[in-house]
Amino acid sequence: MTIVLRGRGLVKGKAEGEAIVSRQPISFVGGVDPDTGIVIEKGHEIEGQSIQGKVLVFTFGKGTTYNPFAMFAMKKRGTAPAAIINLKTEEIVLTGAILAEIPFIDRLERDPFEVIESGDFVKVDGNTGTVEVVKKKS
Amino acid sequence: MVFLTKEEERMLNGEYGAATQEAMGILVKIAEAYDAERLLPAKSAHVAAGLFPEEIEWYERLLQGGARFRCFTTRHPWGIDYEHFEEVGTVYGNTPEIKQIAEMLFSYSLKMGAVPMGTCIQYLLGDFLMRGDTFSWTGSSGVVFANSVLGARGNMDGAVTNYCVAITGRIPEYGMLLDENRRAQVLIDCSRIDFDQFTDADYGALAFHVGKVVGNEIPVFVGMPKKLTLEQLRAIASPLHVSGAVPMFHIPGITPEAPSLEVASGGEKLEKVQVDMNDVKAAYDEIATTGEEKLDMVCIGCPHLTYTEIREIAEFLDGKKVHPDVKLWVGTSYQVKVVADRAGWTEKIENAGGLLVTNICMGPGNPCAARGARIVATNSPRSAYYTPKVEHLFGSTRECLEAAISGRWRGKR
Repeated sequence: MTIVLRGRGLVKGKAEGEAIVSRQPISFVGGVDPDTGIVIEKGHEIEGQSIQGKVLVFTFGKGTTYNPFAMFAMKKRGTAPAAIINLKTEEIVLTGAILAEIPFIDRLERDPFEVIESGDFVKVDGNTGTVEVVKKKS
Repeated sequence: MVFLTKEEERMLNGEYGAATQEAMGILVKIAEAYDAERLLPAKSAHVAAGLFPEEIEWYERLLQGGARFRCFTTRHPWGIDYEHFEEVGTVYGNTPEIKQIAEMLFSYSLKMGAVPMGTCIQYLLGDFLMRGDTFSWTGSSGVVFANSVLGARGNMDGAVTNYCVAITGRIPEYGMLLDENRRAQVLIDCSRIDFDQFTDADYGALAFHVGKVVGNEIPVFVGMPKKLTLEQLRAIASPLHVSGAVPMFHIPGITPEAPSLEVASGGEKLEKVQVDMNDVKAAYDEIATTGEEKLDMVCIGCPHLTYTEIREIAEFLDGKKVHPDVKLWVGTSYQVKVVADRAGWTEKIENAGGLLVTNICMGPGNPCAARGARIVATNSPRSAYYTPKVEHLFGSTRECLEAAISGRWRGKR
């Protein structure tokens, strides 16, 4: 099953990959290992999982003002997510996505947490703000 | 759509060079994301750097693209205490190679035109903001102070945004730049607290509690003393964005745009939260991460200390000796230290065995763990929360200094 959702593309570019979904805010400084892309924040919903090359769906950013540089460093090290879908845009993650050239979409017409689950295959088009979700076989 | 002036259009089109074009592009995106209608002239920016070597690529690109700061811009600490580098070092070490990397990261902002203050208290040392002035600063304690005490206007911007604002001299008008987002939303009733014996740590603990309670809403404090010192106001401002995500507070009669509770709230009836000494005590328990009595370090200076605080510390330490098992670091900017040197305060602190350190972040960038500290006493909830890899004891400056002398923690709360 494939679902197409419209949203707002804030950083242009196309990307696709497996979805990784968290309803919790994420900090890229201290919360994610920049060398591996693995979430290391203790007790985080997706602790121990990798965001490398995936379509990262989460609520919004948290933590320090250095988050954009962490995202930029991850991109250079090949550990960044392929694309980001946020429930609510927060300036620090947005500027990180711009600097790291990670396609970024918000304001989806439906609650992304109801539609997208970890393991789904997701195509993101930041130029048009379109998200295509291929549901994993259950 | 964001309205741009002719000059802003020219910046976006690249007529002012590649760096200004990139910076303006990012600001326009932010404006778009937050549905801002326009950009405003920025009065002040405060920039930092220095966690990831990859950042260098961006700074090089900006410099080659002609980046030159268009508004008054100051530099956050870059982590080199030039008088005590080996002894203090950085979180990454204290070798000459590390010093060279820190120097290089610092050099970019200097080349772009930053005033190299090396402090988080730029607003006390010449970054002069008045009511309504706009700013984009790194360092949340300064942001809360400037919004709340100075009546200036700024959001909790990220490090990239700080540079973009500095380079363009423009700032997107959203969030805390708009009247409607600056009104008080929660009333904090402090009338059951006796402030006569309140210490700096008590103010910090109270604010830490309030940050937790209000989350991302704006509190208005009632029942506070009518007059508060600079140091007390800073102690209130500093923890609010640590335990919560609070960009501003109101104290009627102190906050410039809040002559009264009614004005602070815009006439709305507010949800009321009563706070008392039990809340303050509970905050102490949460801020301290250890109950150990024996300590090996005392760090005071998050945010960086004022003239008054340094003088009081020097006077307390005069004729005393720091315990041989304890290190004492007192942190400030080097401008303040120049005065402390002249006044003899530095000598008093050093004769006692303490160190007056400069250009060092005593919070998230505190290198004390790399110098072997394990149990650290501080008067700052912010420092206790952010300083990596050590356990914390928390109490007033006086209690911290007494512990530095005796080697034992006797904090009362």
